Order: sequence, then C-alpha cells, then structure tokens
Amino acid sequence: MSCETFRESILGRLYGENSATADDALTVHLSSCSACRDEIDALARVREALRDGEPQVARAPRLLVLHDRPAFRPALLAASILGAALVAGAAAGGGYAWVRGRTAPSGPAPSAPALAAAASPAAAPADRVPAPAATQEAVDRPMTRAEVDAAIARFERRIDSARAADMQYVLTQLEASEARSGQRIGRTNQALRNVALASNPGIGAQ
Amino acid sequence: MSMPTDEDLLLAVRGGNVESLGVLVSRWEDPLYRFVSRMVDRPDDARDVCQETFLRILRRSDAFREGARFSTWMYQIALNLCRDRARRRKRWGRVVVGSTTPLSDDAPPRESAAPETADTHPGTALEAAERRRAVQRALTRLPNDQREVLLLKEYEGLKFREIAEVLEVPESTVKSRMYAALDAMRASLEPTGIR
Repeated sequence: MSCETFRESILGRLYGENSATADDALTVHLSSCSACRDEIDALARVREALRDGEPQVARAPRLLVLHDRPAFRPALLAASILGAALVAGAAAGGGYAWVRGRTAPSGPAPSAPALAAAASPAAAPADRVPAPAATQEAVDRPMTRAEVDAAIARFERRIDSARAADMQYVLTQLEASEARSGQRIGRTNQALRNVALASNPGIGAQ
Repeated sequence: MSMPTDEDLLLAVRGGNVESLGVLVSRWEDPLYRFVSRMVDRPDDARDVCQETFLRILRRSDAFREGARFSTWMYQIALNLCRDRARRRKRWGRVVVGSTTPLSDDAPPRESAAPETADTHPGTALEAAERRRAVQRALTRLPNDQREVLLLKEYEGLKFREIAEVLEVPESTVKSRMYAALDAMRASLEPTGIR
C-alpha cells in the first residue's frame, strides 16, 4: 500500500482517534516506512507549535438573555379597557350635559365627584360613603367642561406614569447589561434585541 | 443531583424555560467567542455573531435533532453566521486570526497574569509573543475551509466526526482538509524557525 493511503490513519494517531484495526495497520506500515515516521514527527511538531503559539483572544463579552415581558398582560388590558370606558363615559356625559344645558338646564348629567372617582380609583372608596347634604348638591349638578378636561388629564397622567414605569424597566436592564459587560449597548448592532451583553444570566430572571 | 447535559438544557429551552439558555450561554460563551473571533476579522463582528448564535438557538430550538450534540449544532450555526457575514463584507480573504495588537486592559496576556516564572522572563516572553505572531500569520494565510477545520480540531477539540457534522461534509473530507492545513502550517512555520 502507498503512503497516501495511510494519511487518515496518521491523523487518527496524532489525535488519538484511530480504530484499533487502523492503528495496527499503521504500525505495520511505519515499521518499514521511514518517510511516514518522519511525517508523523513533523506533524506532531506543527501541533506543538500551534499549541505554544495559540493566538490570544480578548476575554469574551458576557452574554445575557433578557426575559421578554409578556406581550399579553391581562391586568394592563383590563385597566386599559376600563380607562377607555371611563373616558368615553365622561366624554359622552359631558357632551350630554352640554346639550342639555343649552336645551333643558335642569336635566340629569354626570357628576364631577363620580367622574373624579372613576378617574382616581384610590379616592373611590371615600366617595362611596353616603354623601352629606352639602355634597349631595354637587352630585346632582352637571359637570362643567373644565371638570371633564381635568378628569381626562388625570387619566392621561396615569397612562404616562405606567409608560414611565415600563421605560424604567427597560433602562434598568440595559444599564445592568452595560455595567456587567463594560460595553455600551448602543455600540452593538443588536442594541435593542432580546439578547443583550451582560455578565450574569440570573439578572434576566424577573 | 447530576448536572443537566447541554442537550437536556436545550430541551428545557424548547419547553419554554429561558433560564436554561442562560446556563448554556454561561457554559459555551467562552469557547464560542474564541472560535468566532478567529473566524471573523473584527471583535464587534465576533460579539454580534455570538449574540446572534444564541438568539437563533433560542428561536430555533425546535430544529434541534434529538440525539445530536448541542455543541455541534451551536458551532454549525455560528460558522454559517461567520460565512454569511464574510460573504456580505466580501472580506473573507482578509481575515486576521487573533489580535495583532496587545490585548486591552481588561484582558491581560496570560503571562502577565501569572506569577513570576521562567515564562515571565523578558526574553522568554518575547519568544512567546513571536511564536504567537508567527502562528497567527500562518493561520491567516490558510484557505478558509482548512482554517475552519484546523480551528475546530486543534483549539476547540472537536472530533473529526463532529467537525464533519458541523461542516456537513464527509469525515474523509475533513481529514483531507486537516492534513492540508497542517502541511501548510508546517510550510509557513519552518522558515521562521518555529517548529
């Protein structure tokens, strides 16, 4: 057999991957082939040089899989629907009051306290207490345009506050990633993807 | 309780347990980065390829074949990404393996981090640096298909059979490329006196 046919076996011996049969055959061949013996020695020296001169690589940046916040958040959805209903109700009530105010000044209309309670749930329980005589008059009075605007503004502030909380969550994750990786997230091409550079996989567990 | 295997963790990822991907990342980020950074020519590219590799693992965990090895699959994804990137940049032939400049402060050379030994002697350190540069140059001159095989075999320790799976070529082709790579390295290194 020619030396060419033993090339795979020579590699197999260098890396310890020969089958017993192939290795035995190679041993027999080497006993009578000085060229292949020299070849094995030379390749072993190349391997040694590769090991000794292994090119250095900078430390790997840490990788972190940030958890997605669930796309479907029932509580947020419910709050949004409720909020939309309140705004729609307030707008309809305000419009109705405005029309009745022009045609029949004493007609029913949404009350300011009731709308305020709807826009501010924290204050709602207090408003459920039977109103004293002094406030009963306010309950019955039509809501003014200014009061409707104020109620809508309060609702918008609540939405803005929720948005700010969401943004804070994202910023916290990015800052943590940057602090741990030492890399500015914005310098990578994948800045706002689900996987960010950082050091501690556990940080994403929220 | 025994440590879960990579394959166990991937199955957990497939089942929706993203925490398991974090464990896989912590196990494999160093070897993967080391391999990728020798396949692409810019550290930013290496970071992006590693990131994209794990992202694809997360997204395509369903595509993992039962019975396959996770590491083989991971290297396959990473290698394809490296090739795509190089194709886009059309700079495949100019890949520089390793760093040609001193490492940054956060990654001191091994010699400087080690206690005072014979290796830290200035003469020895210079020789070591010269050896690294020579190997680096020789690797850079290798054809891509040979460099892929050599890096996976010599520095990542994959078996020939596993490299064949990564590259999707017969094992005999892998060995043929490996032989040619070692031969070329010998031809490059011999004139430098490094053996």
